[in-house]
Amino acid sequence: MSEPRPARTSEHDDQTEAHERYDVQGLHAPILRERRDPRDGYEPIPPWLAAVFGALIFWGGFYLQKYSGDFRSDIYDEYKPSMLYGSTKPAAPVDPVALGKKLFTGQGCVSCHQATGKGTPGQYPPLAGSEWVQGSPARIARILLNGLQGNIKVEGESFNGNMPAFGAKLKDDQIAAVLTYIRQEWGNKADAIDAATIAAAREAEKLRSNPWTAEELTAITKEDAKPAAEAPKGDDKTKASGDAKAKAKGDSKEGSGGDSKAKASGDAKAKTAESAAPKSAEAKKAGGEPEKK
Amino acid sequence: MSDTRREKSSSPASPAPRGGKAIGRASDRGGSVERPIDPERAARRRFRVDESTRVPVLTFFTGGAFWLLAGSILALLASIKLHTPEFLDGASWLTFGRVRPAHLNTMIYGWASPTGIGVILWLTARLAKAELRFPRLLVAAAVVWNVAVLWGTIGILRGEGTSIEWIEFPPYVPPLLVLAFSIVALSVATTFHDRGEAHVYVSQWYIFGAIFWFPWLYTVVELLMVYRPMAGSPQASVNWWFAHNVLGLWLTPIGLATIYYLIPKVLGRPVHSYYLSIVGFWSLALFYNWAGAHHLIGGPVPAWLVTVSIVASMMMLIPVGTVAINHHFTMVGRFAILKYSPTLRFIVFGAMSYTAVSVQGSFQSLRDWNEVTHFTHYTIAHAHLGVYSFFTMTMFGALYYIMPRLTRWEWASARLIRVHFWGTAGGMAIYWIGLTWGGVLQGAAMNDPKVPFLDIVKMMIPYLWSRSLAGVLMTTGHVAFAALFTMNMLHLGKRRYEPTLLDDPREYARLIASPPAWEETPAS
Repeated sequence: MSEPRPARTSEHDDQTEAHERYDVQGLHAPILRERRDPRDGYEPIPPWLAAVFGALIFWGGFYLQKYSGDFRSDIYDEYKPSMLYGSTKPAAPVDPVALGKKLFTGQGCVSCHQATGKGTPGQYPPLAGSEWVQGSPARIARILLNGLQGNIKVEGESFNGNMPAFGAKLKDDQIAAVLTYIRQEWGNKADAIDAATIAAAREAEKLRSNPWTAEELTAITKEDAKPAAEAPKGDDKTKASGDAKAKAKGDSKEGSGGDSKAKASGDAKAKTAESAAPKSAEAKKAGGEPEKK
Repeated sequence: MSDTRREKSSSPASPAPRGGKAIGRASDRGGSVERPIDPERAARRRFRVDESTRVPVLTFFTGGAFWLLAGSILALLASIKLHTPEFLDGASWLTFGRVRPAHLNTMIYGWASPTGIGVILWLTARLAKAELRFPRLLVAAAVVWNVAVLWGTIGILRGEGTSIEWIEFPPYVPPLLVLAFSIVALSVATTFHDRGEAHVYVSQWYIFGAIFWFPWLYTVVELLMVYRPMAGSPQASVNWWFAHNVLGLWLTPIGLATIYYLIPKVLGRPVHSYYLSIVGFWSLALFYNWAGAHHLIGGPVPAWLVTVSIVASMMMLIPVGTVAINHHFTMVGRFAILKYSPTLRFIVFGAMSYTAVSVQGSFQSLRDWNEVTHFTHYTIAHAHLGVYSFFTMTMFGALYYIMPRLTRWEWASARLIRVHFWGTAGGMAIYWIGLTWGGVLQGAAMNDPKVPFLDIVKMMIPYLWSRSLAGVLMTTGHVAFAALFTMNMLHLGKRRYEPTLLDDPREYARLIASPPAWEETPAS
């Protein structure tokens, strides 16, 4: 059965030698009485059918337009047609402190710096009350982006260890969230840090791959200038989630939110908040949902 | 009604009905290009081709028949447990959560797929007019496949199932299925390559689609859901994409290939329109794969994903409409034959169910209707209308045609065939009506916050009983079929020299001999 045989058997039907034992009369009845093999008829497609299908496709286009939510990945409610978008409430924005807390645990910060933020005496420096943490955003951003090595003095105590780099692992908004968290937890009272600050630091140090030392960091006295186009409209609008945070939020609004707001109202009224969003995916992510002011 | 149509069309004085005229034109045109066929030579070639498929196809069918019975028993258990929860609740492996997935998987991977593979193999050889390649390997594939299904079913009953609907088999089973299937695909592809027929008939398109679509669906879903599981809601989209398309791109093409072959074959008449066949096939290939996410209406997935799925579901009206018209006008004027031919009766039942289930499916994907019916028994009725009423009935029809040619033994008893048909068709009707009606009531009640949930549970009990009753009828049909199958395989019963028909054979002979006036006389 499985021996090789001529490829086009139909041309060689009369080669009965190999099959002589199958006398036609000996073939079983079902095969003999069979009717001819199926073949195609060639009736044209009725015009009315083409018209019905055309109408169906037209309907499909209409339905897609109406319920697709602009094909955006963050719109789950199909009853919200895109033209109404400007007047609907955005989803609750991501609270950077909550996100930061999650990352602080999830990314392993907690194993050295401890949940109390006090670190491990003699080994890992504390974050609670630390002048580095609450100090210049440019320095602390660099520590997270590229890591830190060698001697460093924190709260009067010397430490000599390795802080790993997170620049490749975390996105700007995530680093900003972790920093905001540690700057406002355990009694720390410093400004929130937004994704644009991290983006600026990343941009400024994009050629650097080795960890920082304390001396190098101390030498940095200037904050990074945030690129204008990258200015987010979003991350300062953490819906008041605690008194301390609310206060910090107010501060940060002065710092970063203020100019971005001015800009937003400058180039377009916030009615088209969603049309501005695709300009910068980072900015959108940082703020969760683009907000209308 | 069919009698009057026959009279009308056989009388040359009265004009034939619209469809009839159309077919008359077609045959004029088709007749002019075809060469005369020597019936004896054709029969000899058919015999040779069938002979090469005999052992592998019968092996696949035997496994299928076994799992059909096993799956029916599991189905009955699951059905009874829904209205009588204390029934056989003593052992953990008999709980609903295991029996129900065991039923689903034995039916899909034990009955539907291997039977479909058997039909594919036979059809491929027939259509290619070439002997089937790798028959011994195929027998091994059938054995591996059935061992895998057995192992997987035991795994599910032991509680090792993945708990992902439609792919509950524990992770050690899928590689075996993939291995067995690659042999099948290899054999189909090489047989097609060595074909002795230049024209590629429409059934062959669907078969070719199926043998590439199924491995794609199955490996993707296993990789993304079991071996390298994704996180979160994308899992749901992938799961529904598979669950929907394993019917749409695997079972449906097999069923349609079978229908496209057997209706014209039994009638000895051309398929109505080649152009409609083309539209039907390519629109199915284009649209089906997008559907699936419409099961997630209201779920945590982006709105556009669901909307695209709904639109694709509605677009499925195009392939379904063309196929329905094509099949209907191939049948038109010959419905009387349904009274006699078991093959045609099952096949036409399946073809009509295909239209019904697809039209129903398109409209129930729409949001307003879906929100009432989706999480109710209505969906179960719909699924059975597809897998059972369409696919399984079509496969029964195919088996009634193929088996006597391979076993060289006619079906032993027309009475048992009648029991089989009326048991399954009647059971299916009760099943569908009961659960569809019950499902709509259930959905309406569940959407009403004032109705306590327990009241809905109680309200459903009579409908669940109707399902069990339907299950008993279908199982009776299956037992009759299994008896026929066994007798056929073992050459039991009286030797017959004529086909086993459901009604007076002389009437049938007269009917076949007097085709409508507009129809060409069969060449053989």
